[in-house]
Amino acid sequence: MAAPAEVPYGTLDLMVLKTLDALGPLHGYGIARRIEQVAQGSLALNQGTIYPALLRLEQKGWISSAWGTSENNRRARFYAITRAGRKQLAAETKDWARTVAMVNRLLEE
Amino acid sequence: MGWGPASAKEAPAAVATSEADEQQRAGVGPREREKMLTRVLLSRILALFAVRSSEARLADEIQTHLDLLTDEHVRRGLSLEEARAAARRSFGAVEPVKEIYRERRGLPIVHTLAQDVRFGARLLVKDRWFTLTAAVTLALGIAATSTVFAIVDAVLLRGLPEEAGDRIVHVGTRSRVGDAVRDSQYVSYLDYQDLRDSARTFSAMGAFTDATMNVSDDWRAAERFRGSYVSANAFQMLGRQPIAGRDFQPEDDRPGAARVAILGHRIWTERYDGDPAVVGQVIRINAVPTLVIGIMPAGFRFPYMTDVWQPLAVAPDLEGQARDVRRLDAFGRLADQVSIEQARSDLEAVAARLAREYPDTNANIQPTVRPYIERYIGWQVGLLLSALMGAVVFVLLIACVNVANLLLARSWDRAREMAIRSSLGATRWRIVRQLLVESVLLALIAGAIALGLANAAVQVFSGLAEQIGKPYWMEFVIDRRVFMFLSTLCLGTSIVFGLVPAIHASNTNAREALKEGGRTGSGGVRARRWSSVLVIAELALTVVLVSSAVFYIRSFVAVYRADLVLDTSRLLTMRLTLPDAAYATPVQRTDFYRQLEERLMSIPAIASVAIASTAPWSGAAVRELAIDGRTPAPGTRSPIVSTVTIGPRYFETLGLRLRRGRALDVSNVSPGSESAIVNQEFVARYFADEDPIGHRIGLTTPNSPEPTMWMRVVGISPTVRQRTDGPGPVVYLPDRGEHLPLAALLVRGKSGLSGIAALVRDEVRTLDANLPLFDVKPLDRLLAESRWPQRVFGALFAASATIGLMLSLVGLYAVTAHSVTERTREIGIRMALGAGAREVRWLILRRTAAHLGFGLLLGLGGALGVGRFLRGVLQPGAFQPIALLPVAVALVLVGLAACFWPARRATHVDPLAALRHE
Repeated sequence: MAAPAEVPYGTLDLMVLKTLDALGPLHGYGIARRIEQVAQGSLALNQGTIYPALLRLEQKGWISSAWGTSENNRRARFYAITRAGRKQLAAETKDWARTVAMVNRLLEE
Repeated sequence: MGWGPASAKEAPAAVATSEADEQQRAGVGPREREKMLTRVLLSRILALFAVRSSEARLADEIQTHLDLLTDEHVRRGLSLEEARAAARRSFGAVEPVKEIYRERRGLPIVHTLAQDVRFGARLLVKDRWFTLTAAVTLALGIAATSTVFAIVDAVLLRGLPEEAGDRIVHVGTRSRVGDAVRDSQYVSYLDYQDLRDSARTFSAMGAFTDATMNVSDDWRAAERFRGSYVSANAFQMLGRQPIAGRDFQPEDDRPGAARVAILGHRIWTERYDGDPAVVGQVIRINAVPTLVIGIMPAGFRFPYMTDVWQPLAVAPDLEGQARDVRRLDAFGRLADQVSIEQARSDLEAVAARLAREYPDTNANIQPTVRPYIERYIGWQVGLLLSALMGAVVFVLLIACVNVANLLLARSWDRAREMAIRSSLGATRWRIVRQLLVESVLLALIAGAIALGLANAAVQVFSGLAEQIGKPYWMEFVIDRRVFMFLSTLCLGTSIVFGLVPAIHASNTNAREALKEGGRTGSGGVRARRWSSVLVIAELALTVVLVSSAVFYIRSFVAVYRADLVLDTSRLLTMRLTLPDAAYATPVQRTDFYRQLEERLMSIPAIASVAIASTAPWSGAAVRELAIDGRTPAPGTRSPIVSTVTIGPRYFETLGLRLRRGRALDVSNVSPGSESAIVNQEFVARYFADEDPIGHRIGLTTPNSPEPTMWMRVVGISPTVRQRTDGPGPVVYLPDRGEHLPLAALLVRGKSGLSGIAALVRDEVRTLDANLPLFDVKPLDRLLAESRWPQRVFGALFAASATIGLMLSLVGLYAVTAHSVTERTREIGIRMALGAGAREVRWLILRRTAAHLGFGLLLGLGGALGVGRFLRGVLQPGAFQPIALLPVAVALVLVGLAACFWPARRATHVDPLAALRHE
């Protein structure tokens, strides 16, 4: 396996939205873990960078947050995707697929 | 991509909405984005108010995250210590995350601005002497400017307080002979009616004429008030209604209508104790029973400062007045969308028709149309006020320059601070901004002080104006407009005085400033050049300011000197009006005056008594002059002279001796023997190289160039000023009773004035119980009042000049003193190399002298220009360039003296200590 890649620019938002859409409300740690799990070591994620991203998404109204209790009884802030967030996710997924397809075609030639 | 299994029941729905959304997004993309941006901005702004709680939230979240990570690592078998370290590693650096988070959370610009404000405030408190000096300097400038603005606003700008008051215009008359044009306020009754009926650009037109109204009734003594006869539509046109009773109706405004009157608020509250029952009562106005039909609201005194109104049609002698008797003021409201120019050409068309129809009286007559208040505010007042406004703006500029120089001097001392800031990564903009924030804070402090000062000054001015009598629409207050002006000045000036030092300071070369002894580097030279420019500008402004004040004060002194001709001690003046009803003929009037004089002369406490149409300094009727045997050059107008009708003993009572010739013969009234006395100013103007005695002169009106009567000049009197604007030519005519329904009574006491007013009043009452005496005042008070505008404007000019002079001397001193400190090292080296005290002194004073020289040169140039501009309001001879010589000499001397002390200090520099300096 190659050395872990940096998170590609702009994709962290997409990953966070997708994670929340798939798994329901999660705290920051859970989101970070989930992304790492899925990446299976191919992504060098500084877990801390997730927080500015969460703030950004919340400011845009795509996710909402509330205090709750974690599985091992710690006070944690849980994030959930909103309706607007789902719309955004769908749009961005499509964009992403289009971009990937385009780049793939380019590379296959 | 290895995303986990999507929730089966939600995914289709998400796709479905997303397609609709996609189309929507394509259509309204920009608006969506705008909404999004607004949303983000809003949440950022909200975050500003919750910094503490969101900071805690962030810390909590990160802590939880680290704890969860640690738990995870412990579960994998690491010790607690190792687990914590591992958690930190996988989390990444905490502080940068917080920093990014913070930047994204609130509005960074607000945070840094708050930092700047905090820092600036701390600095202002620390350097409190600097702060105080700068703030007071600025406050003086801002207060002076705001005060004058409040006056200008009230006098020139605000206009009538009525609804759409700027649509009310005044209509007067312009008469033309050849190229010469003369404007008059007045129109004739017949012209007014024709203009009113034919004008299409006015929604309404009315007229008024002022008159004294003696109000009496069965309950109280007679009192005299300022009254006006107004057309019935006047109040309606202004959008005002009586607070009690009714407005005038067209039926009231017909010749022979039953007499009605509307009372002003002042007479209602003061004379009738605010009793509404006075409406419906019959009182006497000028001895005619009159029904009170209404009361106007407080503060409403249209047209100028009227207390009683009657309908225009009952004004005396109005019906049947000839077309060339022009005594009425006409005014109107412009129709919607009509400009003054359009109204003017509309009325000009009507006037042209009248000129064809009535060539005898209207051949050269045209109407004038101008904003209503210009009827009362002459161009001199406008010019004077603009000059004064200019003066205080100069003071403000000087204050700004001064503060800029103070800041510049301080920026020297702060060069190191700026260098450190910039080497730590502060951008240039950030440094300029920080310095501007400091300037704004300074300006706000100054503004607060200025508000207090200006408020006090405006109140004093308002009190003075109240005593003199001012038109009802003028209110001297710091209202919202003036406050806005003051605030704008504050912010504007902070940029003006703050920008140069800020740009300069931000320009400092970091390496240069941080170097040992870097103060004498190139930055210093640049700053010195800036401060030289500022000081020269300041001195030039001061010279212009002081010179204008000198011109104005010279003008005032000229008037003051001329007034010394009269001995005003023990002289009392008062006025009375003989009502037409009781004194219809000249003989009746003359009889009354002669009887009164006789009775008063027999009182031992009274030395002398005279009546005249008007007292000295109280204005006079003006007429055009014709001189027998001289024909005016074609296309020019005859000169204008003041005329005063006088009874016997006039000059004697004033304590004046005729320069030449004899007194007027009052008793000889046979035609052809009329005589007149002229004053010296008259002689100087029209008989410079001829003896006027024996010449015949006549008085004319614009429409009858041939005088109705020729008079022989029999004597020459000293020049006594009649008008406020200076001594002018006066013709004294003998009283034959025809001109004196309104008369001034002059009484000189033998030893003092106490009790004399009461004695005179008793005698008047014995002759006619219904005659009120009014405006009873000593002549010296009358004199003071007549000089009031000059005195006030003179004082304001002098005050501005003094403040400006002080400020710029302080500025010059500060710059010189600072240059000594800054050049200590250089001076030390020079002295170590053998320079003597004189050389060192000269080194310092040389720059001061250069500043003074350049400042003077520029300033004198400006002063000549301004003086020429002011000429219109100055007495002849007051504008003389040579008068500026003392100004120049004084400025140089005071300037050098102020700087001598720092220069002396320079000679006391100890070379050894100086080389260690810094």
